[in-house]
Amino acid sequence: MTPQLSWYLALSAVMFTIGVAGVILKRNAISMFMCIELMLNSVNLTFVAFSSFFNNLNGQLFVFIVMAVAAAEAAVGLGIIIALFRNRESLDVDDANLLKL
Amino acid sequence: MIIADLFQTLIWIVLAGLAIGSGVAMVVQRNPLYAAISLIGVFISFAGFYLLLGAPFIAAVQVIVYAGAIMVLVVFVIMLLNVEEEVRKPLRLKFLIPAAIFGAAILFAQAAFIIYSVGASPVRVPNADAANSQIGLTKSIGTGLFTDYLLPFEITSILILMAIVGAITLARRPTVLLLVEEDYDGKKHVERRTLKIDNI
Amino acid sequence: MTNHWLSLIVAAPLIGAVINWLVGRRVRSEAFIGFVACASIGVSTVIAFILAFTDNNGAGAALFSEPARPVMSHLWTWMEVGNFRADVGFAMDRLSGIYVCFVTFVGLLIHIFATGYMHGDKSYYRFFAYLNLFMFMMLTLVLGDNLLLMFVGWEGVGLCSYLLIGYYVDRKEAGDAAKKAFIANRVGDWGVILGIMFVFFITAAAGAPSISFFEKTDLTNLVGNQVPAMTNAFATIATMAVDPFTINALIAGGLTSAAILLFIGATGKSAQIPLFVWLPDAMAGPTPVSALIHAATMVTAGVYMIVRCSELYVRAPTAMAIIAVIGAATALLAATIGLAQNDIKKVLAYSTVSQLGYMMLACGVGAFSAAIFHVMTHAFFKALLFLGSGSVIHGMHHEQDMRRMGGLKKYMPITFATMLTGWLAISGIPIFAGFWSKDEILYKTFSTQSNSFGLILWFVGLCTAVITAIYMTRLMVMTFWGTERFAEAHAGGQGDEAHAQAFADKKTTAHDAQTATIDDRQHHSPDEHVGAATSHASHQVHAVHDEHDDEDAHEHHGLAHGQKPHESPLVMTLPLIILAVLSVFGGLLGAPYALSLGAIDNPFHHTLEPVIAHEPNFVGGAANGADDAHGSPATTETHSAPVSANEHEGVPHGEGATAAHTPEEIFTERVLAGVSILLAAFGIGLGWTYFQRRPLAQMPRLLENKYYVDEIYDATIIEPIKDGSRVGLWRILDVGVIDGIVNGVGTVAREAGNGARQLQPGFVRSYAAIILLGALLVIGYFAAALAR
Repeated sequence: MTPQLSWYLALSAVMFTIGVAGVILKRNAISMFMCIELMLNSVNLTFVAFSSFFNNLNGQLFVFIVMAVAAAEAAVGLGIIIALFRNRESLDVDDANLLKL
Repeated sequence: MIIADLFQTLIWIVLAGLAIGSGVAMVVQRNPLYAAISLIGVFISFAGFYLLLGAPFIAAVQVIVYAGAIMVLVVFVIMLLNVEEEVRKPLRLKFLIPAAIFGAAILFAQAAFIIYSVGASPVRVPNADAANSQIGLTKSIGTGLFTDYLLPFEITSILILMAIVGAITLARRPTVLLLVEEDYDGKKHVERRTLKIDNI
Repeated sequence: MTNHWLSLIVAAPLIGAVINWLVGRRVRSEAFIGFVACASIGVSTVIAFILAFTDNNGAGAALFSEPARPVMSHLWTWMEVGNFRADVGFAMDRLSGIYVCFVTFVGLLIHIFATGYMHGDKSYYRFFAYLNLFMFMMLTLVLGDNLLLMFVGWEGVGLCSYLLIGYYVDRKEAGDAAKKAFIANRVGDWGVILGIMFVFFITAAAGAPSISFFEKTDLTNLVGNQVPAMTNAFATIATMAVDPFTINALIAGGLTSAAILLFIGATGKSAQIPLFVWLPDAMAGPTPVSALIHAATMVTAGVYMIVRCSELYVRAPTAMAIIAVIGAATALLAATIGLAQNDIKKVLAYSTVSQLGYMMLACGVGAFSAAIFHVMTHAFFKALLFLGSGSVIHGMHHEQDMRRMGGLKKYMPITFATMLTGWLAISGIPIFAGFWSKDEILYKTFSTQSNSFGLILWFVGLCTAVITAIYMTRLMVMTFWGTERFAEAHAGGQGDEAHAQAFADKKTTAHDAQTATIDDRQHHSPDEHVGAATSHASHQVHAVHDEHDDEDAHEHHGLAHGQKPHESPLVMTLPLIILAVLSVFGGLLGAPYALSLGAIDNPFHHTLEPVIAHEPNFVGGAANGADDAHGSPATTETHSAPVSANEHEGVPHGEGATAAHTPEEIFTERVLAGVSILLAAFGIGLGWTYFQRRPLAQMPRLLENKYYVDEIYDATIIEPIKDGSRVGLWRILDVGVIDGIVNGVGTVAREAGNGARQLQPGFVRSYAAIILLGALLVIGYFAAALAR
């Protein structure tokens, strides 16, 4: 049988979960960022899957927008990471704890 | 056609395995460069999925933007900052590991439930033939983008502009100020101050 | 009848004040300032007399128009809210005409005197600006055509009194006295405001809401527009029934309540019990101020108000009884205190309080024209006495303590002669002014029908007259006769310090006083000189800067060793002479028929009669002398024709318009007059013989310390208020509750923040975990929605 919609959704959920786990567990800022990208991608997959299975263009258009946003976010996020690195001399997010009250 | 379906399923399984494997590898890897490579693997497999789903444009954009631009950027940053392997430091917050596992499990359960409901729902569209669908073609995406989704399109362009400006602001060298103060008796004191992120 | 020159009477002093304030301060020329000040009052005087006595364009003089019609000048409608309307407009009827004439004339004389007295003062312009401002306010009070405008003037004279008493700004006691005066007045003003409101409500309840004294029909205002009509509030009140003579009427909210509230204001302004305590302290101001404000004009404003509202008072017998009792009590109390004072101005101050008590007594028994007559004669002789004392003080180089005077009659003959007439006037010797008015008051009190204790009040008035004679004799004897005590070093009283310091120079002789300026004075803090009896401190102070003089330079006021007192210059003695003439002959205006053997029949009373009320059920004696009861209510000023003086051979009249003179009334009046003359002579003789021998006799301590009224007020009212404010209001309410709430809000916020910040450990990953938790909750919600 052909891949069902539910398969795609399940896969997407798994990838998303992996991303979430990575965000929480990883200490390196860049690694955290990459896990966030993974989460975004899994959501993209969901959108495209729905668009394909319901014959609706909106899903893919939305994915397009999401990708553009993700690109912008990558730029800014990495800028922040660089600035963080300049300040703290370390990419460990546990070291960026100035917000501690 | 059984063979075609079977082939499709096979391709799907291979791609899924690749995706999951790369994803797990990315999380597990301590060297961020290896993690980046794994992420690229994830992106490639996702591009394959998009092709399977009959969205060639999206697949192309995925490779170009994600794998080609974002990951290159990430690799640049890794190289620039000369990031080393993550040292195995003792976990400060002990509760994070069980919390993460628990959270992940719950998430998975919810997702599974939703997927099951979706699968069991009577809403059904006649199974579109992915190969012959007109949905994912560049032409139709372009048409939709410039008619229905014109406003989001424009806003997204502004968003990108903001991101550019933001990135430049964030990543520039700290400004060095020379403050000149004049004393009561006319003497000038020169002070050198640096504007850093945390004293802007 | 409209005549807009009337407004100029009020405006001229204001213009003078403004010119003096703005221009005089730059020019700093005493001649200019003095001229502007006196000229503006002179303008007012001239216009007032013209309007009062001449027939302006056929409308009739304000004082003599038949029927009695006021000269009015409506300027504009001040406020009109609902059915309440107050105008800015002036009106001169007979009552205010008399007032304006003597207020402006006496004011003019005092201004002239002050130009001489204040010579050399540093803030000459300020003094005269304030003095002119005061005249403006006083004329507004007297000429205002409604209660509210009168009240504006009422407040204004209180303000000017404050400014003028506190004129010597570097003396603490002057400032304190000024505050005391203003605050005591303010307590009274509460009564006046409530009284005005009551009048409005009462007239509104009767259907014609108004607070105007006059009916306004067919008038034009300054720019020629027609003035909207206005009813006379007191004509409306005249149609109401008399309140019962009970205590409850005071709080019933009717006519008696309004009357007693207005009277409370009068006790403040006219220094009656319980609010008289400011007047003796007000002597800290310069003497012309004491003469003008606290003798002749401001303090009589209370009497003016009561007489103006006489329609109200004759219908409130309880209020009248209270006024009479308080007036008599004040008269006696103040006279006894005046007997024991050593400062010449304080004696005169208490004398003023006492004479005001007489006026209130007259009002209280219904003898309103007698009260106004006494106001007028009192203005003459009290202003004379004050100005004379100012001349004495000036000649003595600002020594005010009578114990340091004596034998001045050969040094200051003009002052002596004029004060002699003032002394005889106030003591009640016939022909002199005070005799006619005081005697009329006593006669009306004796024969009043308005209450049952007329005899007691008459007796109190009689005792007061005796004591008045005694203390005035004491004053004259201690000042002008006897041995000269000014050369002795003696404990001095509180001198006119800052004025003295205007001339205090180590080498100033008596006649240099004219040319010394304020810059000569040493600058001390005011406390250093008060009570030179504290000789140790003053010796130290004097030793610092008085190397040359011997120990006679202890006081910087008072005469130096070998200095003699000198007569004052003409600019100061001329007003004294004019006032002396008025004190001698001014009383003849009101000489009653009985005492003048039919020659004069009290023209004063006849002029005033149409504008004051007569008690509706008044039988005989006090106001009108007719024996019959009068059925119709009292008249207003618009439509009563005064009956000519011919018809009075014992025939009673209707309407209570004139005094009928039955033989027994004439007899009573003559007997009573004889009694008062005898007692006055007795008082003078007693004072003369006693004080000639012993001028420095110590008077009873209780009287000298004014019955400790100030101390009692302090302990019972002022200290509790201060403590209540400090502990109760400030500590408990302000610091405790209000600051507590404000600070408490801050504390709560801080503590809440302290608690909430525990949620932020600063680790980014824990944030991510919490975000995940939130996401799980949201997804779970949707999953649950899906399950349904």
